[in-house]
Amino acid sequence: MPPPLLEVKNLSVNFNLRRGTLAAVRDLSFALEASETFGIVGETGCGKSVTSLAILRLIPPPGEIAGGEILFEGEDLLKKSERDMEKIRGRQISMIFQEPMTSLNPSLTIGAQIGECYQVHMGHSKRVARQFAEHVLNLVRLPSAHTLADRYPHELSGGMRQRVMIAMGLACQPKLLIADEPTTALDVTIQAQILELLKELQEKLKMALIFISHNLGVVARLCDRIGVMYAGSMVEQADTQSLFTRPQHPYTIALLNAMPRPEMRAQPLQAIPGAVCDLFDPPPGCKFHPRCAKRRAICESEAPRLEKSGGASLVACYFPGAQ
Amino acid sequence: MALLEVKNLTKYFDVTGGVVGRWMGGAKTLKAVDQISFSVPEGKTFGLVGESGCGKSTTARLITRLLPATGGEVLFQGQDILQLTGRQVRELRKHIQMIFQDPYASLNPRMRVVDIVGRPLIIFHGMNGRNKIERVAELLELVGLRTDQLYRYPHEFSGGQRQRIGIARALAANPKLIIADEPVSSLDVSVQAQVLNLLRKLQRELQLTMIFISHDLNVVGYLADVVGVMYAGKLMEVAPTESIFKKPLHPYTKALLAANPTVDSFMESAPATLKGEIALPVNPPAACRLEPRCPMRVERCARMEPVLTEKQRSHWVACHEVQ
Repeated sequence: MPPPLLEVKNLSVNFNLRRGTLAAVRDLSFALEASETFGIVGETGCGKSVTSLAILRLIPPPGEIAGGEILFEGEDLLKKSERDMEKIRGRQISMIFQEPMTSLNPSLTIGAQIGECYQVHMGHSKRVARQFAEHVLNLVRLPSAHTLADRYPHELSGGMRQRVMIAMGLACQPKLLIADEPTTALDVTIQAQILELLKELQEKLKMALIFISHNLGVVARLCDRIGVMYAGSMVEQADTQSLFTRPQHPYTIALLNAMPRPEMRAQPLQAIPGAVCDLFDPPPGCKFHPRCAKRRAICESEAPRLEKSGGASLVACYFPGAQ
Repeated sequence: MALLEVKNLTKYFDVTGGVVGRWMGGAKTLKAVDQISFSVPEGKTFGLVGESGCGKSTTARLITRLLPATGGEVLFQGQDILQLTGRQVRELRKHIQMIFQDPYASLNPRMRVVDIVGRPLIIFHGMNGRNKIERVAELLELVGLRTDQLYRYPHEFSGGQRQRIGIARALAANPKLIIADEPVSSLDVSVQAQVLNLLRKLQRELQLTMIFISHDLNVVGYLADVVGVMYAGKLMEVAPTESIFKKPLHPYTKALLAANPTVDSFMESAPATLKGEIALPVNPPAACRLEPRCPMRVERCARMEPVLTEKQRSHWVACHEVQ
């Protein structure tokens, strides 16, 4: 069996701040096959964006990757030189971000920005790069690509900008695309269009996709498998159907119950008590235990490992399941 | 009886852009809110839902007299509040209070909780000294904060707790009507559920009347008794919440529901039913505002504007094609 396209093993990321060390990601492992869609969900500060930046080795100081391996096609990205990483970023693995306005260069035309990928990675001339740029703009179904390539980001709407971001991400036909909350800033009807587009392109180009979101509903629509993160750790990993029909981890279950559903409006929502723990000083044992209804003595002393439970699901909990 | 009745409320903005704009393309009018009518019965929650730029926040600002209206009437307990002047407006604010979206921007960082929540008590009820502090403590308990947090500053609280402070401040005036503009949009799901439960509890216990504004259908569906759906400055559909979700009539409402990512829709691939972008209603033609994007459009839609009419019992729709 060939190795998976991407394998993250025991990844830990720290931010060394004046207040102390913030454990942004702890002992995180997951794997991704070629042309698979893997969703990472979690609330603010759970480490999902840090994970995606770590894969590309883009963690800004004072953050640092404190341990683990990131195997891309069997090779550890953490052992690569910065020069080799530059060849991988954008070419093999590319990324699209949440805020298309801040991640596009306001002083470059759309065509020039997309064309840059072809110039840098493929060594094409400016003129050829421009033609490729128009082609990829067509691919993300932006109208009149020829004139659009001469326009600047501020002339476009939010949905169009996000399409441009996707076009840039796809430009060099990467094997893996990481999308960090790509639809969060968009309205629902526009979000639906972008999700549809991503799904279609992913199937057409046979690339793997890591889709990061705080919205369980959005991830549910797009992904084959989903990992749920809480306070820097993966607490559950399962195929989409299992995760939503038979969630195992108390946090996943609580998160699903906390989502308002119009057809259940008669009952109060089951909110999760308390707030996410302080990442400078996480509680011992399972980090969810202060908010967990099922906690027992062992949860407070020893952190559970991500293990098989209930069919194909991986769960980090001593007492998984509905009861 | 309706506590609040909005009749043909209208707000136009001049967006010509100075002398040059006038010379280049003539006057431009943004019809942000265009002749909308609805009523809010006493003790009920009216949900106003729509995408960015649809005019829902402008509506809130018109009702609270934070913006002058271009036309129409807003009857609060039978009195047109658009006609009030100076001191009367101040008197009105005792009865109508707002909760804002951003709990970081809407609390003064230099004021302590006791002063933030105490201010309406001083202004509207002339309370001072010990009375005031006791009442603030009561209000904090009511919204689920501890009384030992009285002398803390906003930065010492989490997003969810800050939103509770905002709610306590709104309640301090002892209002009859609360307008909540996207109060949970910036919160994570688990905390959002806490705040939604709190709002519902308070609304029932204090017999509050509420206008709840959100872009999130799930949230509106959970909290509102009646829902109004806005698009490009127009009310498209008004109906009891059950009807909106179970048998929506307007094509826009249907599209919004189809695009709405819920955790129950994980097996469905939801096609984006609305093509194209949301256009701001600048110098809109006398046509249905949804016409360029509508899958149901017929020839008539482009030359006649549909009027909001009662197509079924208490179910109002602005569409030519709905019988």
